[in-house]
Amino acid sequence: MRTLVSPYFRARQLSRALGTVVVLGLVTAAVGSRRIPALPPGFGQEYVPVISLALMPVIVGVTCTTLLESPARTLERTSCRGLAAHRSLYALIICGLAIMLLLGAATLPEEKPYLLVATHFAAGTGLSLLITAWLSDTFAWLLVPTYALLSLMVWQAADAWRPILVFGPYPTQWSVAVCCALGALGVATHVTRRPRE
Amino acid sequence: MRSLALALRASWGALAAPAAMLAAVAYGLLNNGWVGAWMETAQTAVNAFTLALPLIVLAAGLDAQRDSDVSSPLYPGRGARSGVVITLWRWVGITSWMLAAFIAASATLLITTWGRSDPIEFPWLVLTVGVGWIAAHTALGLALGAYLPRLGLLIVAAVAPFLLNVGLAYGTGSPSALLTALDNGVLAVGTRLAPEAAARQLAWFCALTVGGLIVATARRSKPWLGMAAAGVMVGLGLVSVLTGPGERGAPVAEEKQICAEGVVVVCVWKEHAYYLPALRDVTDAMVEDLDTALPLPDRVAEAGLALSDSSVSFYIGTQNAGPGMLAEYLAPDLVRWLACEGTPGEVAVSDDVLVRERWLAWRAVPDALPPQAFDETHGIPEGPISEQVDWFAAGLDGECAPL
Repeated sequence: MRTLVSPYFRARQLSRALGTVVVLGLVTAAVGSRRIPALPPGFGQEYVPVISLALMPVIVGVTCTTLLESPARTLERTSCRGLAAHRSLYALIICGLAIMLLLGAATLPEEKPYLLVATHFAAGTGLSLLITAWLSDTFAWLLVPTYALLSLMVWQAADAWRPILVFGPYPTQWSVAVCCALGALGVATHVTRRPRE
Repeated sequence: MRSLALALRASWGALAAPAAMLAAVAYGLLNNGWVGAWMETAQTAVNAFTLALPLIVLAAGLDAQRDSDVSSPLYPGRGARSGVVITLWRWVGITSWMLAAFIAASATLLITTWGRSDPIEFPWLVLTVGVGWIAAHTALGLALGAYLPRLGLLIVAAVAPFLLNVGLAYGTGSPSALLTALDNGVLAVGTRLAPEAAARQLAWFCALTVGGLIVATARRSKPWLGMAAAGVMVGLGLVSVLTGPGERGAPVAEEKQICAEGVVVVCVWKEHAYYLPALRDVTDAMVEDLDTALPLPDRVAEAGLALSDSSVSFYIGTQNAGPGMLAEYLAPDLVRWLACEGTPGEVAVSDDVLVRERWLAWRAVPDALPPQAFDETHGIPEGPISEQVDWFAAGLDGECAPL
């Protein structure tokens, strides 16, 4: 198992990689617990916790993508085998975290912040995977957090703009569906794309 | 010039700056179709650049790490230059990109204001403080990039600058809020950035910039000495900010108002002249017929304008208020003035008072739902207007709590 997994966690740095993700996850949980059980109706004094709660899972998602993607170029240049098995395993690891978060949200439906964390993690990871399929992970870091922040800050936008601002502070049926679709699309793209040159 | 061109070409700012500008403009224009007064708009441009902070720090940090990336096609031809010169050129490069983005975003937002409103004062100070703020963050990004591993830089840049600045800004009114150029309160019409507060903020950002550059340049030779020097600089900057008053806003030097005659005189700041026709209509509709049962104010004036006992002051709390919104802003202050008959006092929020505020707003904007639709227990007469006015006046008796 470790032989399969470790190349994708920056080649034999599995413990450091997992430690980074766990620390970020704990920060997210700590921030989220400040706003449970409900998000406030307006930003007001709760602005910082709400933004933190909504932003942190996106950062965790981009971090996961970076950690798992980083050795891929070398591996794919040197590998003679198909990489679908490795990539699927990678997707499973990523999806495992998202599924745990979604299960948490499903078991506590009144705790909407959990849903926010799960959906933002899925969308952040999916978008990052889509970007890294064609560009370097630096582009994912330049674009995804900025887009997430924009979605969070433009909370007075006209209704016509809301559908494209998927990282909103208040999860809706539409945003949950879009975030899950982005996550699924990103994972599918990663698993099925051709090996890198 | 060749060095500057090289610094610009070799910087991640070439990618980060357009993204930062687009994000800032989208923030400004999508949020309720922003058209504010000039100070508000300039401060909004600065606030919008909070979105760009992760990009600024990240791009500067990646620039600092480019030293070790000799395989990059953008690797600068350094020749025999010292590390200090290289770092300074990197700072010039990324700062130039980000300032270009800031100027473009600010200009876009100010041009949207230009079409509707003449400035009382051009917001030079607000924009200058914004420039210092961005320059400080590029220096901090270079310092972080010089020391942190790549993944650490990516995570810290994405999380820390944004949350720190937003967190500091929410201490509005305290000196610590001056540590960031972001302003939670936004400079409302009739106020400007106090020159003394601006000077202290600029001193702090200069200290951060110099401190960050010292730390970034000292990496190869004497990192601890550099950190000590930077610590002294940042400490002095902190003292200069935290030992003074925390207020950023100050009244503008000259009060410029514009008034319209109606049932009562209605006055707004010159920058809000475009509200005047709608505001006069709203005010007339509200106070018409009330004089049969209540004394009327002589003047309704926007907050910040000079007042007398016979003036009602009210605040326009959004940037694109239509008649309905103006009525909602004016009704509570008018009810308070009528209940207290012009003397200083407060009116406690109760169902009786709220339904009367709603009744006033409904008179001004008949398209809105009548107050009876919200609450049928307050006995609003269905009869002629004189009966409704008597009902309105009777409900205000004893509601005023003198200050």
